[in-house]
Formats: sequence, structure tokens, C-alpha cells
Amino acid sequence: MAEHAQPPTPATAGTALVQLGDVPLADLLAGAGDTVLAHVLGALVAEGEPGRPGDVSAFESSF
Amino acid sequence: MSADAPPSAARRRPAAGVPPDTSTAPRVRQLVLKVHSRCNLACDYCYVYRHADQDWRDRPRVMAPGTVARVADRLAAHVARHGTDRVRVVLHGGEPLLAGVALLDRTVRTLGAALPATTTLDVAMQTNGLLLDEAALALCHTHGIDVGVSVDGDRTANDRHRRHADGRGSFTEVAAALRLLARPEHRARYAGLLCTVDLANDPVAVYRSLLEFDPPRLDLLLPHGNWSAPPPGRRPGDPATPYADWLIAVFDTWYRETPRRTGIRLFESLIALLLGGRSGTQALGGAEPDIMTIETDGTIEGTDTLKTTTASAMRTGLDVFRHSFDEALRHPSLAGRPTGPAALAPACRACPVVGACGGGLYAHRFRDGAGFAHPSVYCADLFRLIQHVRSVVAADLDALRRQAAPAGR
Repeated sequence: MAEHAQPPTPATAGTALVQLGDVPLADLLAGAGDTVLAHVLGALVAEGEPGRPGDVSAFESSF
Repeated sequence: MSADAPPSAARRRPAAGVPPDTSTAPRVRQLVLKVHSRCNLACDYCYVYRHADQDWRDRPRVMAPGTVARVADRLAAHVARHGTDRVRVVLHGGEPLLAGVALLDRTVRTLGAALPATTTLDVAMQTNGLLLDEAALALCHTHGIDVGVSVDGDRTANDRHRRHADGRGSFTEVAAALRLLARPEHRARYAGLLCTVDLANDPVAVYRSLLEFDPPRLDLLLPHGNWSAPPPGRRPGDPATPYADWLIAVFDTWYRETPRRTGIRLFESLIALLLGGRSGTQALGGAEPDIMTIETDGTIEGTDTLKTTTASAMRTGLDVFRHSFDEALRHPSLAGRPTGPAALAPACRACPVVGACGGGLYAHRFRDGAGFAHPSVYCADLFRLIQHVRSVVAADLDALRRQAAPAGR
């Protein structure tokens, strides 16, 4: 596993700490197979769909 | 406006005759409904019965029909005022299934009948599974109730804390319930499993044992605690990171399994946050407080985890009979508390991983007599976990980029 040194600068909430880069997300997804990372990338794309509710868990339960 | 409204609320009051702009106003997106205030287990870590707030002792066992009707009216008025298109109600307790199928059926019907046709009602239930039988699942199918079940791993791990009042473990019963819930005819209602981390349990063994129940999602819950009442094995200020070590062992196992076997909300939220997305958990990312709890007597409270701090921190003094949800939201235990950077300690605002951490769960920041303006009592663990996940994800994204765009293309 490669270690990626990060600059010790603060980031406000919501700021990406890992950049996706300039490769189209569809290309990244195509290479990611059926991995956990592919699933999260897919969910990030779906977040942009109108009408999709923010699915924040109440009190850390299983919903 | 109620007498307890803060000055800032008064400044936001619209001019007479001008409809209020509620598009960005705080609103309730999840309503935790305590339909039954008692439990058929006596788990020794339970935040409802074993922590600071002991108000449950004075509350009715079951939410009465008149109280449910008032909740429904208040919720309907709230969603209509805010134009909310979807709201979630979580049937909770105590143990919600102690209320009985008939009462739960009437409760959900009352709520559904009151809401505007333009608002979708999502109903979920968090249960210990002991009473989850065919009749209960029939009710869940009727109303589309998603079921989350609490279980801490295999028999040894689960029965370490999740026991009956007489000391018997609950694993045999919950395992039977989960086998029923996982059947093809019921699986659509299977939301997932909620597991509380215990450092005494082997992390990978816990993960593997939970996978045997074939859950669509896992929630790994850090034990509740704060700077004044630290969680087990977490000494404030100690650089050791036992919880990060435990979680990383699960993360590394889960993350490398292809195809993906299940979702783990904590980890998927962390990866999403690292990539600039949203969190699915209040434990990360500085989520806005949009959760309201209604006790069996109609008392309105904020998020349930505040019960682990002090009793007074949780009490609003408000109830559904006298107060609207919008009035209640102004209280400091609900949306009236600081949010965003203003809610964070100076050390958090200067931290390089605050974008993902967000300060951690609000209740975990508490220190007796000094409030919530502190890093999480899990700060060292969160920092190490975030750094680890970031390094793994960054390496994999680098590999994906190289694969998608070979050098020289």
C-alpha cells in the first residue's frame, strides 16, 4: 500500500482529502470492478440524482 | 414565537404578510418514535437505561393512541410547512416490538393518514429481534417497514453484553430471528445489523460472524462515552488507538473482498467524505442535526445519543401537545445547537482531516461542565482510522487512474 503524504493544512468539512483527478469517473468505475471502492464511487454519482434523500443514519442504527 | 426562542430567531422573522422562506430552514428528516419505553433485554451498555438520563423510569410503557395522533398532526404540519417530500419515522424503544403488532399497525396508519399526499413516509424499526416472528414481519411487509437488528457478533461476542435480566444470553433468539429475516420472502425488509464494538472481541471474527447473517449493511457503533465518562479502554489523552486498530482490522478485511459482500456504513461514509461526498452517519462529517426523538409521553427530545452525557443536556421541556416541531428545533439539543465550523473546537478547525471527521459524533465531544466544544473523546482513533483509509483509497485511485489513462495516451 502506498503512503500518500498529505500537507498539514486544515480542510473544512466537505472538502475532499483525496482527489479523483481528471480521469472521467465512468472510466474509473469501469476499472474498479465490483469492489467496495466501485460501490462508493457509484453512490457518489447517484448522490447527484434529484429527489434522492440524504441517507444519514439516526443514532447510528441500521437504516 | 415561543418565549424561549433565541434572539437570532427573532431577527429571522419575516415581515408581516410575507410567507417565510423555509427552503434552507432546519427541518426534521428523521423522527425517532419511542413506541415502547421498556426492553426485554438488559444489555449492560445500553444508553437508554444505563447512562445519565434516567427519565424513562417515569414515562408510560406504551405510546398512547392520543399521543400518536398528536405526533402525526405535528409531523404533518411540519412537512407541509417545509415542503418535505420524504420523511423517515423510526419505531424505537426500549424494544418496539413489545408494543405489539396491533399497536404498531395503528401507529403507522395514523402517521400515514395525517401526512400530505406529496410526502413519502419511510418507516423503519430498530429491534433486538427477540419478538421478530412471522406476524411481525407480515406487519413490516404491509407497511414497508425496514428492519434493523442489533447483534454484536457470534455467541461469545453477542452474549458478553446482550443478555436477559436473569443473565441468559440472547444469541440463540436473535440468530433465529435473523435466519427468518434473511429468507427470500422477507429479505426486502432486511435493513441491516447494528453491532457495538467491544475491544474484547476479535474484530475479524466479529465481522465474519455477522456476514453469516447475510446482511445488506452493517453499522459498527463505537461505545458511547465522552471526556467525563470515557468509553471502555479509551483513556482521554492517551495516544494509543485501540478502537482505530480494531476498526482497521475490519476495514482491511472488508475492503479487499471482491465482490463486495456487504456495506459498512462507517467505512463507506468515510470513503465518500474523503472523495468530497456526503456522510451517511452522524459519527463523521459534521452532519446537520435533523433527528428528533419523541418519548412515549409525547416529550420532544433531540438525538438519542445525548442521553449519554447528562440528563439536563437532553431535556427540552417541550412536548407534542404544546409545541410545534419548528419550535422544538430551536432548542440547543436539536437544530438550535451550533453546527458546521462553529460547533468545532479550535483544534478540530485546524486539523488536516476535519473534512472527513467533522469532529465525530456530537455526544462524544462532551465534557461535564464545559459542553461540547472539544474534539471527540475518540479523536486519536478517528485520526488514525482516517489516515489509514485515506492512504488505501488514494493508492487504489492512483492505480485506477493509471489503468484508465496509460502514460503517453
